[in-house]
Amino acid sequence: MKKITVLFTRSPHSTPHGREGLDFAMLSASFDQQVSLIFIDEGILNLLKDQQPMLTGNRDYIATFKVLPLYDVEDIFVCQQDLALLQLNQQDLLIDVELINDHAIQQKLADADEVLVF
Amino acid sequence: MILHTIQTSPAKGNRLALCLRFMREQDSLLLLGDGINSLLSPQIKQQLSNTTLYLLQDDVNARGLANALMQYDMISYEDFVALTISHNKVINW
Amino acid sequence: MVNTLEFNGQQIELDQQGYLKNHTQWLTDMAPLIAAKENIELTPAHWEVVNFVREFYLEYNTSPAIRVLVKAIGQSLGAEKGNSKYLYTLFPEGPAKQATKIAGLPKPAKCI
Repeated sequence: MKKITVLFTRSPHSTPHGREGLDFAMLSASFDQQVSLIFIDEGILNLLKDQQPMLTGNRDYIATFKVLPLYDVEDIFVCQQDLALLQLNQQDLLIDVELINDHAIQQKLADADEVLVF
Repeated sequence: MILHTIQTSPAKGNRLALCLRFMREQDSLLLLGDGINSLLSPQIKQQLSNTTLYLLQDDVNARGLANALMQYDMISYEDFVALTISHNKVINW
Repeated sequence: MVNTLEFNGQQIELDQQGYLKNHTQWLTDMAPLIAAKENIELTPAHWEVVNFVREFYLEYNTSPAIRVLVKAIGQSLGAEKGNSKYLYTLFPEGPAKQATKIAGLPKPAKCI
């Protein structure tokens, strides 16, 4: 079993990265890998509540983030500093996350067996 | 020890800035493709002055930047493979 | 050749494996027809699972893979239903695969 960290760094919908990152996370979890997700920079916007991607012709993969606990993916982290820079807080997010600082993120990237950036 | 790779120009996004935020002292940075263009900015040059830095030689030569960037450590594709082995993992930003 | 299901005089498009191409076309009365193609006669026990995966899809916008289906059913309907043995008795060729098909949903990724 590998420790796989999926790093979300880009805003949703305008590129396929966010959806691909989530698909990759779910697929890795299905293959019994230990998966954690980290959201930094505009990647945090993937987790905003009340999104309606269909209005701009995009698939609503955002709802699927809620399924992660059923895939035993419980380690979901958001960069505290970037969340604050976006003038958002935890109540604006769709799922329960743990806020961590840059240093803790560095440590998690170092501890992972594989890191994939989306 | 992580090998970080950047393939995109700083004009096209913040990949390098993000990478530098989360890179640690013992890590290395490889610029390839348009990532090499980062070094045309004096500010970024300065920012990278204490970083273990490699450039993919073919991508530098292809862009006609061999003279402009001659001070840097140029590597071949074989060296690239060796670096991926000598580091614990690769993060492609 | 296009794969279709005839329903009330309408041709409903299916993919090569018999899943509805557009899940919003699904109607309750379609389920017995799709089930018949799978050699399943729907009982209330089948319906409970079909409705469950339907609600799961509406909530999460994804079809549950088998392990996730077992876990989710266990959480909401209890352990005697949230186990593969029970679900395989109802859907012998794979509960996730067959229940999602009968519910008009896309095939789950990494499906057994």
